[in-house]
Amino acid sequence: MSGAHELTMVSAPLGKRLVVSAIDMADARAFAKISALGILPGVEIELRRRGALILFEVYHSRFAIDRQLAEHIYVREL
Amino acid sequence: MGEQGKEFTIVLLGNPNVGKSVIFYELTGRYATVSNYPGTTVDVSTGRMQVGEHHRITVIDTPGLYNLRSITEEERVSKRILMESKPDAVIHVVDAKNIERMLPLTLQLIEAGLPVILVLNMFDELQRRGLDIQISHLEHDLGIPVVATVATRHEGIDNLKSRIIGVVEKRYSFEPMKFSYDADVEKKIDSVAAHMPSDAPLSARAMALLAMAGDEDAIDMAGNTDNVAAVRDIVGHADNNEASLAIARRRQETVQQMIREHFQQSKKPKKERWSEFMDHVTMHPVAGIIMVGLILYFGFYKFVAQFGAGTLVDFIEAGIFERYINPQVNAFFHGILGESIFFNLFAGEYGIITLGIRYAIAIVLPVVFTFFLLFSIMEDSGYLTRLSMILDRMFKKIGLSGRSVIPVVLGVGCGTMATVVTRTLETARERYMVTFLLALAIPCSAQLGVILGLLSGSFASLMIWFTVIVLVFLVAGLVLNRYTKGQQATFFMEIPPLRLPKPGNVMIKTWSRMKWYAIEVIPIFIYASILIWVGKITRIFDVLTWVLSFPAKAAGLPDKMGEIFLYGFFRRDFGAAGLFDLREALDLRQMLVATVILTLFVPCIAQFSVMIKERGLKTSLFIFLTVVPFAFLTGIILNQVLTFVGMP
Repeated sequence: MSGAHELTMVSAPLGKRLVVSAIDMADARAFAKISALGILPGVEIELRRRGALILFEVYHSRFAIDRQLAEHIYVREL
Repeated sequence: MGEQGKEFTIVLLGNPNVGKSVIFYELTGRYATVSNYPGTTVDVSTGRMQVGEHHRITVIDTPGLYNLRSITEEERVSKRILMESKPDAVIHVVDAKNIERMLPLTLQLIEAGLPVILVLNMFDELQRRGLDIQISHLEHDLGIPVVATVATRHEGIDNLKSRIIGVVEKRYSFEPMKFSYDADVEKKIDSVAAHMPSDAPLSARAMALLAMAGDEDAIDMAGNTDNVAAVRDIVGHADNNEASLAIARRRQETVQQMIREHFQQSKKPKKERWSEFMDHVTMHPVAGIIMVGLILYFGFYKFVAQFGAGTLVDFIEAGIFERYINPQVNAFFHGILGESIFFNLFAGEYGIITLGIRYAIAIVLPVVFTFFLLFSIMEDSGYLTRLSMILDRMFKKIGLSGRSVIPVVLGVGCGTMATVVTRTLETARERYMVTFLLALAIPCSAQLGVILGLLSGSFASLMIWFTVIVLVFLVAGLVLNRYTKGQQATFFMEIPPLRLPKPGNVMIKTWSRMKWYAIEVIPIFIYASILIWVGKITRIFDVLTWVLSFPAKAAGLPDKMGEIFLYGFFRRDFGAAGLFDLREALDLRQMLVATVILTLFVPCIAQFSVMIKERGLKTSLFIFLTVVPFAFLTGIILNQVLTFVGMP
């Protein structure tokens, strides 16, 4: 679904405005969860912290997701 | 229902953490009945909203959901209530500042042809961020009523009530916004919709949209097997992914456009330094752990264990029961029953009143109350989600997600309630693993109170006990992770802003947990008293005590411990309390071994019965029969190790 040079949320920089460029849809369950959070291509997010979990802001909420989910979300810098 | 005079049904719906239950309480005045949704173990609250003499409105509060395409069992229940209750109004509650993320669900509801009222709750938090929404314009665009509320301060509730009346009486003329998708997506929707039966609970179009998103219920509702197969065929096709993404995006874009038009940044948001600092501290990998330690010490040890299990228990047990109630009860039953065996059913050492009710009220209630108070404060302040984040790393190693942190922590209060709460977990695998760990390694607060008391003389032995229990928890987790079938659950959790807990909310939460406890658990104490009575007169207990004395001896403990372990099943804390009476006779090593075995040894009878209800008899028996030998084995090994290192 994406070129190797594209970033996923697992490796994207912290504290920068990012836009979701694509979501890997191979795993339907993961996609259902991601879209339930309102994350779709074109949505702006900002990563706040990265540890075992990845903390990010989308709209005016904060979410923590694990790496397994974050790997499905491709982003690019704005 | 609507035609029959003035009987109406409305459904409350929305994401978790949007203040839905506060709105429910505001509408119904707190007279809720909680019941299981048929065929599931998910609780659904139903209440009545009374407006004047003429309107009797049943309000159903549903578990939080993010999307109609459901993932967890709770979300599924919400969706089915929506489909089956034929509501006269659907109240979609959203967090106003998060409207952009939550409005797509409103669109879904509108597309489904439901009479939706949109509630923008926590409107004050939106304004505090310098934002504003032009409600009348939003209302015009969506074609449904929109109400702003601050439910915790009763603001906007009267307005909401009058809008509800307008909608259920069909006085409001809905002009639901219509939006269509690209031509090829529309074609696909039509082809799926063609297979949906005319009596489907939602419009054929709405059913088709859900089916295309992969919602199993919607697919199954296609009716006969041919139709289901046909729908599966279309939905399973490779290009369906593209179509469902296109649908989700179209909804999102519609929302974004509306937001751009009606959402304004009126002034600069106020930076809340304190809250940002606390955020930093609570989620920092090192500072966060220190914070956990502080909460353990002050919250659990000082407040729950020392104040709740110490001061309060002493006062109620010694000051009230032993001084006033028990002598009266004993004298009364002695008067009517004399020295018969029936005397012991109600009074005496193990009677329903003198043991069952005394334990429930004097020993367990204060501990449970202080614990639930602490838990509710952590929940309402938003700290609990941060705790889940901090502990997720450790939990991941044993195959659990951060979501499991909540039932595990709750288990330190009451394992029975925690076993019920495992329902919020997503996979059967995780529910099973947490149930197992709760049965094995998590001491409930009643037990903890006594254990902390027993070991308080020696801080070193308290630490040894703590280390052994944590080790057992981790080892059991690793083993379970290895041998339990299924995939590890992925984890996401909303992290709401930290805020000062509101006393009203904390009281409601504590109260509803206490009420649950009183209704669900206290009757089981009474049955336990009856069982002990039967066990004693039939001498079955003597046999079991005798059997249990062997592993007790193997762990270097006196015979008498067999009896204490047996009573530990009827009340975990009761076993620990029996140990308390024996403390003079035991040395420190024996005390440590005994407390470790008691902590690990079988869950109490209340927890076991809930386990059967939630996980089934077979699984529960398996857990039971694994935990008992494991507890003794750990005790035997610990005894060997302690003897080896030269502990007296």
